Amino acid sequence: MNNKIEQQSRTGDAESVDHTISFDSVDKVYGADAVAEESVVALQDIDLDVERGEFVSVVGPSGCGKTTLLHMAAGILDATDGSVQINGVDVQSPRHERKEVGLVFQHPVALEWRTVRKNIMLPVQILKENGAINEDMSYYEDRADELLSLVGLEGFGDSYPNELSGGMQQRVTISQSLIYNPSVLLMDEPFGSLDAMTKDELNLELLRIWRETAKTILFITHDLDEAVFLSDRVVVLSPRPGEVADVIDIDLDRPRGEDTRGSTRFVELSAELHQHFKSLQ
Amino acid sequence: MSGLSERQFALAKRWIKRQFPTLVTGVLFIVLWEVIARVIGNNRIVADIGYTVSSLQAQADTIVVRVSETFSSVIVAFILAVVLGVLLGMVVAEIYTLRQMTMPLIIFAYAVPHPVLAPMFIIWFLVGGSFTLFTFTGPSAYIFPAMTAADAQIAIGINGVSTFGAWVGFFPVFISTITGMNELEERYQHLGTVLGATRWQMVKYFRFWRALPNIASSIKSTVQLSIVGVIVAEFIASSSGIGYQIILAWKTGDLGYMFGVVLVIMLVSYTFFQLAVWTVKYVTPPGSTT
Amino acid sequence: MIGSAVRKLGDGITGGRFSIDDDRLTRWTLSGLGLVLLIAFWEAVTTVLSLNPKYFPGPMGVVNELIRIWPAIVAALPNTLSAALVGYLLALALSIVIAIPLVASDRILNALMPFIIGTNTVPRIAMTPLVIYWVSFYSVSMLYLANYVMAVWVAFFPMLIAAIDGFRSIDEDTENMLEVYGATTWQEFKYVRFKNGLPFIFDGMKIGFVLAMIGAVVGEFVSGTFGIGSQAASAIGRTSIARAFAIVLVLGLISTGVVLIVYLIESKMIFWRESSIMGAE
Repeated sequence: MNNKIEQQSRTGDAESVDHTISFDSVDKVYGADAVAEESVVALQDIDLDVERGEFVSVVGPSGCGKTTLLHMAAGILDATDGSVQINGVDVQSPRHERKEVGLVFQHPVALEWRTVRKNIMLPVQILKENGAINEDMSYYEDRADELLSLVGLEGFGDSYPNELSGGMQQRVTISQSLIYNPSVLLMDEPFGSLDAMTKDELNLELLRIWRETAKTILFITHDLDEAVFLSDRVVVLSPRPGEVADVIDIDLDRPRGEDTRGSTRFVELSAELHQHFKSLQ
Repeated sequence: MSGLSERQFALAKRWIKRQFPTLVTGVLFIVLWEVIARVIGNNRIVADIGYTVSSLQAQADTIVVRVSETFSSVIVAFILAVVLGVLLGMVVAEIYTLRQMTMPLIIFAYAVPHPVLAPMFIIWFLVGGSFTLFTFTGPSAYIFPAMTAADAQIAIGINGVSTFGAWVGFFPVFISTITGMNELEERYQHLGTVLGATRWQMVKYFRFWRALPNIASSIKSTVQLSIVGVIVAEFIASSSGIGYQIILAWKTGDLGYMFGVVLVIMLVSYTFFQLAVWTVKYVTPPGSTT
Repeated sequence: MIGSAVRKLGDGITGGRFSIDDDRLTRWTLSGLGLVLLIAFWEAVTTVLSLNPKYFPGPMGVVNELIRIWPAIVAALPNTLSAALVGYLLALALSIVIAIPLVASDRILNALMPFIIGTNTVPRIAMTPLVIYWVSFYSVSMLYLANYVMAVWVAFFPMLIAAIDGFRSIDEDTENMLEVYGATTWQEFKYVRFKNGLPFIFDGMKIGFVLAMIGAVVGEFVSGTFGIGSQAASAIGRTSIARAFAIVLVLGLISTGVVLIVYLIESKMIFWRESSIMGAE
């Protein structure tokens, strides 16, 4: 089962030359056509490449444009200047040319009136109606069951979101973003609204899911330790206008586990990141 | 104008740009009105703008007098509704037993379509007599030189029309007072307990203030409903007030006048409503959530 | 008395909000007791003070009058009720149908919303004579149609605003999610907006019926067509409070009944949330 999933994500894109996620001299200005004082430069001159299978975190002070960055990768916002590409295809291209990405939010987007299983099936219902995917529904129903086990929600398929805890609802949101097997996952502070213990638990789960599915992940967080724990690289954005201030390589061994957090190297890296952060203020 | 900074100018430009579709639609409506009136052509189904305006001008003095009458009733109704609504709301919110005992009655009273109650109010005051609080010379005497002070007298009083208006306007503010007072968050209850606050002190310092945002936002409904109540009462009761003027216009088949009076009522009501909204906003401290 | 007993079991500051509150039996008993006390008090006052039964009838007087005019009420009720019900259902259907294109297009919504709110703010009931005038052109024998029109006219706008609010109020994350999946406008409605709007529409339905009745009754007031409204208005001529009161009772019961029915339907249909009988503020 795991191999099947892994294989599918590998055959997803033929071009391995292009970076999986690529920001090229990207600017984002709000209100660009208004009076000069009224426009806001959210992001400036962003150059960022994420390779296939990498786990990259983006950190920065509030309002530095992290969410804007992610929304641009998702194709929800367009860049004022420069280009954003996923798997070599510009994100603003017509829908049928694009590959699907998964977007995970800070708050669960499960619809109250659908069961967990039906919520997980929602994306493929929409995609299939629009002809973006072709497989049978039964194929996806099986996948939904697999995902329920993968995220640790076995047995909750027929529950309603209002019956679940915040952490469980977030797992549903993660499953929703995985069911159509996008090769790229964009995650916007997905664990930000959870308590510390659940967050740690879900961090481990996320790494496990990442190991098993080999996705490319761009992850936003304001928790510096979380960034160090999860990522291959950490990108630090400066306060508005957001620019890439620093990129830190995380050379911790994988697979990482609970004892990673106590290791010397982790503490060093965390201190280094905190230092970079402080120098921004 | 040298006073405007570039920023104010830009803001104004942006506001106009935003309101533009609305303005265009408004103009379109007016044009549509005139076109339909001309197409039908007989001024018997749709009065064109010229006819409407001239009818209004011809009876301008009557209109101003009647509008003043109606809206003085509205003011009385509104004040009664708010005062009684808040006071009774506070009492019912405080006394649990009373609330449970009167709850079915309140729901029933709220569900009754208010016009059927209007005759009752009117009969009571016809029989019992109304109470005039004071009279004054209305604005019409000043606007229209031909009008005598006697004709322009406005009486502020409690009668069938204003009490019925108060009845209709009463419920939004009554219910929102109760809801607001009972929504006082637990942490304030705890604070009160710790300080040893009496029941009255809890109301005075906490619960009443908790209810204010609810009351403020229900004022909008209260204004609207007071106006509706007064007009409905005027339909069946009085020979005074602007509500009766529409009936008169209908009975005499004067379409231009009917159109005109309806327009006047809508415009004055809207202005009244906006005034109330602005006053509430003005009185509300900055940064409030409502 | 009972009040102090209740209070002794609880704490004064919270106004007795404890386990005794959640005791449905106590609440219902109090309500019933309140009703009984009210009627007893009413009867006592009118008898003891020897009030003129014509202007201040006691409960027995009202009941007697009700029995006396019952045939007239039964004859008049169908006219008014059909106008109110038909107008109500028409207004409901129209409000939903018209809300859909308005919510689908932001431009149209922004252009029209001030007019919708404005028309909702002004006393639409003032147009009753005008509506009757117009209907009399169409057909004098069917003048009662004016009552149908007024019922729709009065009930429509609040219900339209409720429908618009309901269809629009989905949170930003859900909107983004739909955009990421490439959902079309119709899919947005089918999967999210309709269901999301249900609670709002039901709230609108609770006040809508009373509004439709108001329209129908005032229509009868002014036009004099046969119905409950004209019966109520004739009470003025006879200065019979008992008659007016009897009519109030009948209509109040009908209205409350309809609101109850809507509430029951709502709690069946909206299983994911709690319904309230008065609707949202």
